[in-house]
Amino acid sequence: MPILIEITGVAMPRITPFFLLWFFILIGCSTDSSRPYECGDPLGCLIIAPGDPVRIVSMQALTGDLAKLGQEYARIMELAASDMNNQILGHPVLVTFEDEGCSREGGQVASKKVISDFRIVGVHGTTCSISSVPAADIISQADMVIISGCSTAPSLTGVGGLKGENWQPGFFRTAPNDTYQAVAAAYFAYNQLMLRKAAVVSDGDPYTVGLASSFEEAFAALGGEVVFSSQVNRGDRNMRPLLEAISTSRAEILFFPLFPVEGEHIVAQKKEFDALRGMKLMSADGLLNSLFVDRMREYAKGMYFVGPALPENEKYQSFVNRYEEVFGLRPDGTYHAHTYDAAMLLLKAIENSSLKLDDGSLVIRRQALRDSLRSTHGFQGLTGLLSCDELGDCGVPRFKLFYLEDPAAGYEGLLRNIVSTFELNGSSISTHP
Amino acid sequence: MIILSRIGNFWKKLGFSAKLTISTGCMLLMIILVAATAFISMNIIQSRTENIILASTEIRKKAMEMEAGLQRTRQLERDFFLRWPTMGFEKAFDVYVLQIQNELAGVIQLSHELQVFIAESQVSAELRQNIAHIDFYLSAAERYSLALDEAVRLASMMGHPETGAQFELSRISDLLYSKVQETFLPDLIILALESRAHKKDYLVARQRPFMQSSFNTLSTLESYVKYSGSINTILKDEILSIIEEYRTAADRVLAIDRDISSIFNEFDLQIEALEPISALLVSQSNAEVQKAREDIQRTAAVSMIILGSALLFSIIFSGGVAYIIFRTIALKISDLSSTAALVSSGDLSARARVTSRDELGILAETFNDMTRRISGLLSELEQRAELAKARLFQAVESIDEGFALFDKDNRLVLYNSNFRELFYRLGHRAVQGVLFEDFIRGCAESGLFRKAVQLEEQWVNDKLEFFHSPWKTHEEELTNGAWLEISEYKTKDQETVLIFKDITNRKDYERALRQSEEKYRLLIENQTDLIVKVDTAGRFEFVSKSYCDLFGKSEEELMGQEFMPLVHEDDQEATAMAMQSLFRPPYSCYLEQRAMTRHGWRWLAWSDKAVLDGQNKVVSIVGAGRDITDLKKAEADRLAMERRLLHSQKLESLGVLAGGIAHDFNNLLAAIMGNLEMVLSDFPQDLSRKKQLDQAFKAASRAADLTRQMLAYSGKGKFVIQKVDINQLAAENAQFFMNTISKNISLEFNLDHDIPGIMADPGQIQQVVMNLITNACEAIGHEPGQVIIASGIMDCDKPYLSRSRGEKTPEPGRYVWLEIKDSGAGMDSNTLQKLFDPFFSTKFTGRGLGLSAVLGIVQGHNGAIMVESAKGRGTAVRVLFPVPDDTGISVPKEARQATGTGTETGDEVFSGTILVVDDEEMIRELAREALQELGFEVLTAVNGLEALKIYEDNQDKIRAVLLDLMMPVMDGVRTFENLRKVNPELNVVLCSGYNEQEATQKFQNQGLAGFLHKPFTMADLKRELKKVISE
Repeated sequence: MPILIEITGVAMPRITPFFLLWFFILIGCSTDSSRPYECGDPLGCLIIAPGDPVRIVSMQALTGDLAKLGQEYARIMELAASDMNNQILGHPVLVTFEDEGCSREGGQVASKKVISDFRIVGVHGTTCSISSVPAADIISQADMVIISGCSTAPSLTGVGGLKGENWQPGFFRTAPNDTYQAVAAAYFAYNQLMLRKAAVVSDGDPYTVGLASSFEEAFAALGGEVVFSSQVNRGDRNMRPLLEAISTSRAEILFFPLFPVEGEHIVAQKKEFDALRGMKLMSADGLLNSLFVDRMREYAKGMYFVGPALPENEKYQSFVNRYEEVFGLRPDGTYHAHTYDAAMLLLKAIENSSLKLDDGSLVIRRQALRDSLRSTHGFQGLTGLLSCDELGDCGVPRFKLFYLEDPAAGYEGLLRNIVSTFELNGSSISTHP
Repeated sequence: MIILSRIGNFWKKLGFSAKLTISTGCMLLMIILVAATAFISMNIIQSRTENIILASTEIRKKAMEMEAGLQRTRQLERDFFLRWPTMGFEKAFDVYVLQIQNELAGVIQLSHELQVFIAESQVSAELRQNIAHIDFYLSAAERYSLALDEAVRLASMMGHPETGAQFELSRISDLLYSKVQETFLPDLIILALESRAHKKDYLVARQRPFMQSSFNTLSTLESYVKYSGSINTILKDEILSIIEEYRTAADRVLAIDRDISSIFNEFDLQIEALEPISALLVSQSNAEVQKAREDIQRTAAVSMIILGSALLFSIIFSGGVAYIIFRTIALKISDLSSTAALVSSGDLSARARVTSRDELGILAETFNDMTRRISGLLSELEQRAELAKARLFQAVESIDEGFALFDKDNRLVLYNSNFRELFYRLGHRAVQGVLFEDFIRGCAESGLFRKAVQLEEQWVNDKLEFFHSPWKTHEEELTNGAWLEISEYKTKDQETVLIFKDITNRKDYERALRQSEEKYRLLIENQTDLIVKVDTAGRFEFVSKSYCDLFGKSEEELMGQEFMPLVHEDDQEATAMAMQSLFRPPYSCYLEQRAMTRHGWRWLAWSDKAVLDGQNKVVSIVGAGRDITDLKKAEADRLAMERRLLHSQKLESLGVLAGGIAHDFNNLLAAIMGNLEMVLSDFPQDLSRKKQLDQAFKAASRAADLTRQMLAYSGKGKFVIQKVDINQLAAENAQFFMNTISKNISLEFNLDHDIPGIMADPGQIQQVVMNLITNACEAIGHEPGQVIIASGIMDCDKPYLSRSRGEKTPEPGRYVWLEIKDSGAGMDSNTLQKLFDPFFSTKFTGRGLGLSAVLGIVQGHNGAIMVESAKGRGTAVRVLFPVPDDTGISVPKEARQATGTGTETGDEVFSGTILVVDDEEMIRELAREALQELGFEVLTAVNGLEALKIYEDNQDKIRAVLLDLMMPVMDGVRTFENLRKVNPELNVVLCSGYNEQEATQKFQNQGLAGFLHKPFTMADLKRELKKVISE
């Protein structure tokens, strides 16, 4: 692999004969007192000139149905940089934003834009797993790194030490792998709700597909029966055929890890089917947000949600207060703490893996940066002590089951009504009803 | 600086024509240079701007072509996907896809070209930064191409006439319908048709719910088929298999559709992402062109400015040349002309400037030389005048006072700074040229002078009048409290000189002096002490009012008179010596003298001080005196008191001494008398030696009396207190004396028989009476005389009692008195004073203790003694005893018994053991023998400690203890206490030389069995022991 040395911050001045004359005089009089930096990194080095910024891109769903979450996560990246005094080894940190639109195409286009600027050091994002799939691919191909706080699809990293379908060497995440989330949901449905027949609906997104398939496997493994499994397309509005099919399946619980728009239609239209009145509804973190709860209200009463456990430590509380102080509103995305951890992990890894030259330049070593992220061990994040594995999973697999008992209490009330907690201890799962 | 200096010098040396030539040449050269610079700059800028405009135009053109190509591609792609279902995939592919690929290739080529062009052209940095965006553009276009290929592939998978998923689904759907028809079951046929309808809906709308509805219908159909009994098994299996195939095909269609939809979305996003880039390129190119145009305009403007500047510079340069010519020629001539005009007008300091060495310079130098000489002559004259003026000014200024000179027209012509300071408030009315009248009115109006404040017009008139005919110096007070002394003089030129002298300090001093004089005058007038001032001959120069009052003379009577005649003649010598001492340092003295005042002779104390002149010569003497007569008297009283006190202390010491001696004597006498008594009792009556023993016993008895006198004097001889009738006692003793005294003395009684008894020791009262009668008789001697004994009762106040000759003054109250008055020789004051001193006697014989004892007894009874005597007029001694509160007090039993002086005799024999405790061996032995004679067994101890030991060993047989009071090791009190601890019932008889009251008070309420006074007789001892043992 050829070694590429990229130099930022070079602007060609207007050269007049006068300046040329002086230039040649200076060249003739000067001696070569410093040798250029020799990059030994397998993926090459980015040399940031003195005073030039370390450029970070926060690639989030800035438009579309999840724009509120994406914008929140983008602000969190800014906050993390601010917590580093907007500096890494004496260089300012410049955060720019790209919209991934919570879609594969969005992730693809945004990533292409990112890699067209070789000065970008790393990417913070994405909001959705479906965007992470092309982004991880494109960013990794460009020898950069991308770290997400909320892309949970198992295929992005892997399961049980095996690389996932969409694994890429430059991808990392602090969000827990959905495999465990689905297991937690299945475990709760089978053992605590004592349900034996389940229907599962996904939307083709790696996130939903991963969760759905993992749930099916786990539920079946526990002895349950998946009586219905299907998909919806993004943008579908008429869910009656789907619900009709589910009603005929006699499912006791519907597990539908979808995003708000499709999820809302399912919940709202379920009321039209008397046969589904006794069927429990369970979704995942895709619907575990104020957006869904505020819109659905009474429709969603009695619904279960599985989602990552939010930390309860003092550091987290301090972060929430600071966010509120800076931006004037409280963070309510499911993965805001994980997203902050992702940002801090990226910034710290850049700081740890970079070299400061005598002239003040900063050398970003691409492979060293990846290695630094991968070797993360015991990093004290908001969500706990983070350690990254070979596949890029750095999150703490800890989930909670929430029960929407009082819609009037809103999203905050939902988060307070925890009916069970699941935690991965090595290879076993412990629950705390 | 050096170079400029050299150029300047060079320039000065040049002639007119050379200067003009150089100036003009320089001007032309500068114009040419400016024009050439402007021409070259404009050419360069024009060339560069043209390049930028061309490059920007080219970039804009290419960007717009890219944009158009991309838009065409997008349109073709949409057309393809819209039309292939109707016109057929292959045909649509041929029509659209090839075009799309060509268009995309063109866009990519354009991107490449644009990238290279921007990199090589001289566009701005902003535009150059778009190379990164063009990279993205390029990669996006490439990705677009790939995505398009993928989309076409998917479209092919979906729409291919033979293998397309859509056609496959339709085929299976048709097959299913035909198979269901074979069942001839209408419900099933309807379900199959319904499923086909849902499928068609999906293929039109591409909405997944339609397909789900199709699935649902098929599920129902499937159930019916499975559980229908009217369908044969083969057909049933075929239908169920077809249904499963349908689902698979439908799922494939759904998946392809989702992928195609995703690619479409990607296209949209790509276009959305690329459009801003091409738009940005176009806008930046436009901006670049616009900027180039602005550069041209700016260049034109700059060129105009440069040309204008060149023109301006030319004008300025021409002006400069003109200025140089003006400075070099015209100005010098003008300057020379002006200087000449100034010199002609009298300004000889004027000089023509010499700035060059040309012809005009030489002319100017010559001119200056001429004027300098004239100027020198004139300045010398002016200096002399100035010097004279300065001297006058300094002279005027040197005057400490304010100085002003008014000319004969009464105008102020000269004044000094002191004048200005005095009259600064007048402003322009105290400056040169002001008329005196204006000046003086200014003074009045400004309120400067106090007198002018209320009588302004009169004051002004006075001043004006005085100004015209000044005749003396006068003083004026200013309103600020200051004073001016104004002197006015007329000169011989009838000019007026005014001198204003500040005399405020002098005035203040005078006022202070007056106040001081007044203050001291009041001080002296009100002084109670005497203040005088005399001259060196002692004649009064000043006497205070207090002095006049004391001597009862007026000031006029005393002034000029000598003071010495007023002084007591005994003090005149000392006074004269004191006056002499005032004429030498320290020029002061203190003396006390008596002087004849209106109150008689009075003691005066004087503190004198000499007043010296400048040569330390005494000019007068000031004396401060005070009447110290009362002080003198008080001092004399104090000295007398001190003498009396000293005398009293001496007598008290003697009393203590006498008491102590008497005590020891009692011990000795007890031994002597006891032993004699025992010897006498054993001697036969006819023995010749018995007489000597009787004499010895009498002598011892008299010694005992003497001891009693001494104890009486010391006040410690009061043994027994009981009610005593003093009349009876006096009468009995007087009768006793009548037998012994001379017949020429008549004794007369004048007793008050109503007086109450007094509480006293009858023995001591008897001693008093006897002593006084004895003294009275002795005072009369052998001449005829009379002794009067009187008594009475009286109330005595303190002043009366203070006349008592005793040391202490008794408390006021009611007293019984007894007076012994004789008509003897009387006593002088010296004798009277020492009358009560012990051992003082006027007689040839006698011990001199009689009256001392009387005094001690009287004091011991809290009484008083008064003596009135004068030489030749006899003596009266009155003793007073306080009347007791309860005159019915009974005489104590013990005392009555103790008073018994008779000796009991008898042959009574006692038994038992008596312990005798006394430190005096003689007493112990005497007691032993006496007690043994009485029949007692006797044990002795020398001190208390030994007594205790003996008693403890013999307590069964000891009946009583005879205990001395004063002993070494352990005294009588402690011995008594310890003995009583051993046996509380033990009989103890105390034996002491002190009186009973004093001795027994330490044993009060402790059960003392009896008291035996030393010296005691055998009878006393026997009686006391008998009493104790019998009780």
